[in-house]
Amino acid sequence: MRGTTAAIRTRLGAGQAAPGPESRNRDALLAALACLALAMGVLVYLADREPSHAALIPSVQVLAASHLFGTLGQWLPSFVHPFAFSLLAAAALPPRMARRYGACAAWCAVNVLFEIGQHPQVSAPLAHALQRWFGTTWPTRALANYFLRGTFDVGDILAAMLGALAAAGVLYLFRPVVENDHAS
Amino acid sequence: MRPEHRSVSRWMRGLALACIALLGLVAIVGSGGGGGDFLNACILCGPLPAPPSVQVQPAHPTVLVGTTVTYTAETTGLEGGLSYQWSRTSGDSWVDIPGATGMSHALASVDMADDGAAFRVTVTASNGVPYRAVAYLAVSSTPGLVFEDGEFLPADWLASPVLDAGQPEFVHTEQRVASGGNPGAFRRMSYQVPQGASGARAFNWSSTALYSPALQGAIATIDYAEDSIASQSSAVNNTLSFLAIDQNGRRFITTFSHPPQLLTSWSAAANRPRLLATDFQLLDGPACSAGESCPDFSATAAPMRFGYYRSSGAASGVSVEHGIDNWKVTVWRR
Repeated sequence: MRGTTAAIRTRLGAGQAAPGPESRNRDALLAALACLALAMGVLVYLADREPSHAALIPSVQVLAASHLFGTLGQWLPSFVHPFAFSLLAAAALPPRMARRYGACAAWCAVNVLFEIGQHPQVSAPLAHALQRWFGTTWPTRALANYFLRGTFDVGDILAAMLGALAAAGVLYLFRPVVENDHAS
Repeated sequence: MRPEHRSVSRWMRGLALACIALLGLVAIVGSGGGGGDFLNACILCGPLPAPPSVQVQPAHPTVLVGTTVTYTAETTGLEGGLSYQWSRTSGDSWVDIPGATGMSHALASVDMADDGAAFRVTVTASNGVPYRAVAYLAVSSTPGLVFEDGEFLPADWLASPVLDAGQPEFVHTEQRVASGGNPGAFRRMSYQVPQGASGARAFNWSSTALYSPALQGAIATIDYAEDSIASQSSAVNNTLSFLAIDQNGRRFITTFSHPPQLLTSWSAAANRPRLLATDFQLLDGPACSAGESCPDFSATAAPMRFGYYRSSGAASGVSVEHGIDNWKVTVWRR
């Protein structure tokens, strides 16, 4: 209609930018979703795992050995980590879908590589190579200990892939919209 | 958005991304990888676990015909239910020994057909990864001739310092100590490193460990063992110990120390089995000519005597103390 203004909302494709306050709200929602997922991951460690298995999570007596998540608790942290950190990274990135999907792929790769590093045939050479390359500093020692003491599980790799895929799905659903004023 | 605001926004995003990346990596490592007892292992300061490995003991036994030999698999860094399978060489391949699925495998009454045989244990861990180790067997038709000393009477040993060109004689003392050995009596040595030198070295020859290949037979191999101990301080670099042979005016030592470095507590059973002539190097005396067996283990070789050689690296003026016990040389004949 000539002379009137209509706001036409269209979903953004990859590579398009969508500035504005709505974008910030969406990013906050993604970050909140990520924090919720991380909280669930922490709950797995508190309720389903031995307290000494994770270095950064304290023991909570009330929850210890309550096994809230059953078998699912075995792989849930591997799912949650790439899911949550993909969403957090996406929220911090500019609203371009290609970059946000890239964050999912990157966290998937990081998780898969860390899991492969725990394979019995990889862990010892990798731990020694780390120390040879970077010396026996505490980050190297922590990494080497992680690879040598961790347990390789194909299920964890699949869970990490699923986690990253789920994050990409969430990003697709919450993809930014562009608001264009069309004079007609 | 004004350019300066855009720049601040980009900077903030970069910082947020860096924090998220760091947090993500810390979360992975801090999670422990699903492994056991990660916190108690003290990830930031604790020693790394030993890499999984398997060894067979004894690895190179030489035994008399009719003896029973028992091999035992010793594992490091392997947890959970382990399964074992022993195999034996047959031509160029390994053949599983039926029923040999325990941690140990005994060979009852070995005969000359077993001489040169190799045995392998395959230890399979709960994660399905197999670890293997091999042991060898040498069988002799004549008993090994054993020279040993755990008492170290002063009359049975003679110390002979080794001096570099121009190096003055250094102060050394050797004495038998009635207790504190491994166990009982042992021989204590003290070498005072002379001024301008970086260490002190000496042979210690047994007056009873004499062997004549011409009279007693050609040597096939030699087994050597000793227990040793040494003092340590910041002024002492190390103390090394070697089996020594004195033959025809030449003094030989093994090409490796027993053990690699002496410790401040008794290190027992520093065994070196199956030593051949090629495991020795000339340290003192006329050079060996090309093609000459040095030392000579053949049936026409000159008589030899056995002893040990100690080398201490330390600063000038430092007195290095060390000890030896359960010195044992077994000569296996052809």
